[in-house]
Amino acid sequence: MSESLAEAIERLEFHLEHQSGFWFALIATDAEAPRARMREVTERFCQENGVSFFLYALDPLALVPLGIELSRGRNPGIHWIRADGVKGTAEEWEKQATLLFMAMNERRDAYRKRLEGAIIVEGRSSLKRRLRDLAPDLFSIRAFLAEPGEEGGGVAFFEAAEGRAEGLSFRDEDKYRPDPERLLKQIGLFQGRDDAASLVHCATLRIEAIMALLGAGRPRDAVAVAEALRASMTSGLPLEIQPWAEYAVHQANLAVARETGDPKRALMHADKLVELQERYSLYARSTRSVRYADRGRIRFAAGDLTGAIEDFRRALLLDAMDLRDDPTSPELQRMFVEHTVAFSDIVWRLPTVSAELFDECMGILRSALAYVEARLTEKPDEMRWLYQRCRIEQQLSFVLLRRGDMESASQWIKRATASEWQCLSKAPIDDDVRQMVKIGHALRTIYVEARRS
Amino acid sequence: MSRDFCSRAAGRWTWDGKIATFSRASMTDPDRRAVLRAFFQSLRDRPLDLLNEADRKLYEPLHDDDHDPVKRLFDTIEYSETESVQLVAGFRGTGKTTEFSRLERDLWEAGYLVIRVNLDEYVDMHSPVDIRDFLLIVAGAISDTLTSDKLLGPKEGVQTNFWERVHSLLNTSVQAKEATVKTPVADLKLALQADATFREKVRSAFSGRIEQLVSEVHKHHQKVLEALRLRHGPHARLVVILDSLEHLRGTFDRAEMVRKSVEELFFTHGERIGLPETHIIISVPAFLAVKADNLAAQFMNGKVEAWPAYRVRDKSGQPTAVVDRITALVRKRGDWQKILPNSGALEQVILASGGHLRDLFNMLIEAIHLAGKEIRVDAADKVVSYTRRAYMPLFKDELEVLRHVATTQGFFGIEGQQREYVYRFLDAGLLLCYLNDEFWYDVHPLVKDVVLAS
Repeated sequence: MSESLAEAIERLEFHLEHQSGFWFALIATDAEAPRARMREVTERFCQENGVSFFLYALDPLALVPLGIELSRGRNPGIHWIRADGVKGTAEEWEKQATLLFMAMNERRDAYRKRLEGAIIVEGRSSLKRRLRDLAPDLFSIRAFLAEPGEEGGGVAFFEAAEGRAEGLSFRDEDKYRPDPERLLKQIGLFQGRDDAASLVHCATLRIEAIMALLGAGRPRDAVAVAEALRASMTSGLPLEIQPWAEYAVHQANLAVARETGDPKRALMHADKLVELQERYSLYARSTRSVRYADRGRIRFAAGDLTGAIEDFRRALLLDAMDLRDDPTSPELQRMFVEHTVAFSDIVWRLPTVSAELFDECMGILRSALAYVEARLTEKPDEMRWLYQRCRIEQQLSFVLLRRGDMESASQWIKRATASEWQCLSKAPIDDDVRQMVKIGHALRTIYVEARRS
Repeated sequence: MSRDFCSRAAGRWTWDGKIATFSRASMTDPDRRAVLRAFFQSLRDRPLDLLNEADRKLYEPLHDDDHDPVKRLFDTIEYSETESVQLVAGFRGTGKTTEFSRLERDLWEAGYLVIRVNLDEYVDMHSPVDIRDFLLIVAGAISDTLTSDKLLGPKEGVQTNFWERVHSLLNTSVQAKEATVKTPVADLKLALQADATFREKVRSAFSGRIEQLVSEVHKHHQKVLEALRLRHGPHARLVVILDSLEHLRGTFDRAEMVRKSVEELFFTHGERIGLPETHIIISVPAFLAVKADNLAAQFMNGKVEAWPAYRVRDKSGQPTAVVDRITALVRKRGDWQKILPNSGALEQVILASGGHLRDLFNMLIEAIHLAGKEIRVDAADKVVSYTRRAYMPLFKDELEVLRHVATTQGFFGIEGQQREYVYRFLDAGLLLCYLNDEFWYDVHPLVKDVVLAS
């Protein structure tokens, strides 16, 4: 254990033992291992002392809703938020973690009043500066800021051009997700009004509230708002709002159908969403493949593999077109790889696969691999791309095995295994990496059995 | 410096020049842990309420009489006869809320009636502010507090409710009527804070009618004063403290917009903000302190004060008497000798804090942590080095601005984009504001050496 990690753990234990009420800490380091060690120490402390420990390893986009949710103070205890991992690129994590800090900065008094416990955020070293510059109140009330892994007190200063993440830009859609409670309160102000302007305003607020509630993981509350929205639609909403209102209603109902495990209803709402999107071009281009992928997953779960293939084919086509226009969008990049893996996974499971489909699938996987390799040339140590490369190599191996091309499969399995080790050495305890290693193990077992037979 | 102090203290400690730790008390001593825990708890970040007996015991006055902002605010009220408007630039972590509570206590004791309003509960702190809704909010917030027994009491307080008046005022406007006719009076406060569309309607309703609005607010305020005088005697004097407006801060692309709106509120509409026969104190964003000279002139009996950092060194860098006062403050919170080896180490920590109390308390908490095993002779160095790390790294373009301030102790010559840096540094505590007869600024001592050496 390095000296700086030992020091950081001591400091962490000291605060765990002494603090009361709300407190906040940041663990900022690019190395995964020290963060994992500190996480383990905290979890063990909580177990031994009867304190609740909540670990959040979410998508980057879920960080802000989580920050808002925690300000309600429903669960006393230690809330540990991972703001790094293979679910997003370094830029995505930095951006969303910064937004989380800003949301927390606004709510610091709410935390103080309501949350009996700590919020500890772990992330990359760049977050320290983001915290200081963009969430100065939160920075000011920090309990501690640990940088395990850095020796000698860190760097004194950087050249501006090299050190600053100038590329971190915030667009309109990156602004805070609205707080659903606040939106609900605002909706309350319109109760009983029936003039045209109020109806439009209230419907717009309801649409926003539905999205915010879904973002906060509250689909049932979203449906309640959707019902009210649907009722108001009969009173004559202007044409430009109606499709958005309908869209929000179906999104809320789809989320609940998923939660209750009702594939029939889920498919019905997914169909409607695709239809609305096609007819009115409702969604921003950067996310338009999502609806097809969503429906593809529902069809896959319902056993309609051919329908699912169709949906993912369409999703990949949209991703490829959109990436051409916006090649640096992390969201598009992620979806492109996710949809590629999903497509090939379905091909692997099909009872019979035509030669054309095999060729199509290999073509899709190879182009995705080329895309990921290009990203790795730009950033050789980017964990997210190392992870994605390994996943695609695994999928190529699976498809070749399915095709019966054992020689080529063997080559790709070797490459995938090497990539697995590379990921494992960088992020030994990351859940996604561990899951990937399990898949690698299954792949090798299948290969050995196929060889024997 | 710490070596000298160590030598000075050597008579009391075992120090052979090699062993870098002292063992004044063994860690097996359970009392010691309890003492450290109590010390830690007393340093937790919270404002003191000087109307509360227990908190009064923890309070230690740190400003010298001549430069005490509370005394300055109090004196301006006393000398301004009937009314005044004073702005207080709020710097983070310098004990603003505690000092406001001291001012409130002093004013009550001097026979004033005091209304303290937390504007966080009324104003959307992330959107541009406007004189029209600001006036309504201020009058409404004042009327909300009148039900207190110390002012009008629940029965009479309700009768002076301003929100009823706002409701009928808005109903006289075509633009706002649609929005307000069905908004219950009780929801007006929420609507003004949370509903940007409603605010827009209010603003448009009073477009070109600001003077009428000011007059309505003043008329209502006169009624409030009459009610207060009826209850408290004809010489009752009112002071209104509007706290937390310094939290106004836009994000990303709105930062500039919000800042401009704050400037417009105070520079263009300064004369409309005052209330008749009332002394008003408003805490405002720190960046307004930079424009203090121009700003004070906007108000009748106007002054701009600040809760600056405590001046532990004078402009030439010499330690001041404040160091001893802060030492007394630390003593009230806990036994510092259980965490630091000697008075020199404590002085080193106090000087390194730059008089920024929150940083000082953070450093003392770190010292408690280090003292868990033993009191190290280099504890102060360790604590300072650890706290410094939070502010690092700095970038070359930032260093340029910081170096300029470190050498000139002001902002003269800093223009354009570099001004934005100044506002950000003031916000983040990298630049500290001090007050003698005038404001002056310095780089936080934790990073000053790095800045000057760069």
